[in-house]
Amino acid sequence: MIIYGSNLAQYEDGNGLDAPIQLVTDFDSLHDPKGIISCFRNPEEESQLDTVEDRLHKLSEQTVNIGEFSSPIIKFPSISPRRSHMVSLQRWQGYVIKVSDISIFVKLVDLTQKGPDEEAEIPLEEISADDKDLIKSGAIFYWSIGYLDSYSGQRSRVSIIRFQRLPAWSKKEIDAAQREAERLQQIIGWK
Amino acid sequence: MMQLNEKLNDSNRLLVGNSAYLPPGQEEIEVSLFGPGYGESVLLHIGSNKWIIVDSCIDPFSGSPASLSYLRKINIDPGEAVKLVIATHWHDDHIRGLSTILKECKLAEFVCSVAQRSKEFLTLVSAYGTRLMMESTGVNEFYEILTILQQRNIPPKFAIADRCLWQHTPQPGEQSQSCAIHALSPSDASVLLAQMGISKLIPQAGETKRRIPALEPNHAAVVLLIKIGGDSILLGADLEETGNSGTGWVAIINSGTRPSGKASFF
Repeated sequence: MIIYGSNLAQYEDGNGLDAPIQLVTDFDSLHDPKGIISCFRNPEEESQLDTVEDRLHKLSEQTVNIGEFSSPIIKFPSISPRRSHMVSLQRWQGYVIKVSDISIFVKLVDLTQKGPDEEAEIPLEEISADDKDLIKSGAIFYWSIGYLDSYSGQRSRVSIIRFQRLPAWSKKEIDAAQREAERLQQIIGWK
Repeated sequence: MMQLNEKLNDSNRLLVGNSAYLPPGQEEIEVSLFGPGYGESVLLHIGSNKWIIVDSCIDPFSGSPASLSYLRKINIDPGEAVKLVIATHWHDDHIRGLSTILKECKLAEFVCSVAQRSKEFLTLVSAYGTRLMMESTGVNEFYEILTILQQRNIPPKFAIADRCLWQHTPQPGEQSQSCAIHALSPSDASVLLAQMGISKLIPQAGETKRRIPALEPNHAAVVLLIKIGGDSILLGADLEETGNSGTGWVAIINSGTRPSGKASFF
């Protein structure tokens, strides 16, 4: 089964038809513009069919040869866009211990390989502007160093720090914690 | 009978426990420190195959608590041999893996600071303990520990300055040394300050979630004095000196009720 999505769909949107994308499984219909129209048309909007047919006729002039037959459908070649992607060499999860005017003091847990926790001082200028409001004692972040392969094929060395965006505590959660604390006190005899 | 001083001074004499693969002799006192440089976990053999574990850290190679890895390596069953598991304070680097230790040491008593007795501390543990916001936190470990104690129906023993936590007096004819373990801290003032600090850490509704910050300064750590025969071992935990005469090390020095003696190993 092939899904044909084309600028035809945009045409029909403009005419108020509410079935802009359809599956075309009847290959005979590809030879017949009306067949195509019937695939796309909305039965309640028969009056607009002629308009669509006219426009489809104009469109068919832009026909692209696909194999041995011509189709009124312009099929854009599928291009998988090259995207930038990162190759991570080392990754830590960290949290802020202390914040000064120029840097943050953090504790780091190595997520790449097991090892002891490490402490580090990171200059504030290393932190993205969007994340600066999140810098508080206890804030959790991820730090990755590695290679960034750009869409143009260039490789560069990068260090990325992203702060985790966590939700706020709800009253329900706090109440549940207090109930659990009372339950533990009673069970363990911790009074 | 081998004394600790003798053991320390006689570097030429080869003791069984000097080998990393052999258990110490019945009368041999052995102190093993584990950790990435600071000695985050201490394993003590106090004689007669009685062991005490103070705090915990993870062996990066085995992924299990370093003290348990060592005991297994020398063919000691922690379930039988460990008599006491002590959490001096709940900083991550001293408590990681402690719940695993307690789970395996089925006959051991659990000791922690009396500052952790408050409802505020339990609320904190309940709030953060079930929500993993980070790889491992001291609070998560404590939540696990409380679950184990709950299953065993045994309350923890709380350490406060000058309390005897455990002692062993040899019976007539028994070939072992007397042993007494005392807590030298936290002082009363330190407990109050620590509990006030814990109260401030309880999250409020609407506050953004974050990892629980460490309680600073460390008022409530449990300093231990372990007397075995004629030897004394002082384990300082991470107790900090604050300049306040009622807290920290000054409070220990000023205490009129602390057990007498001078540590030969610290």
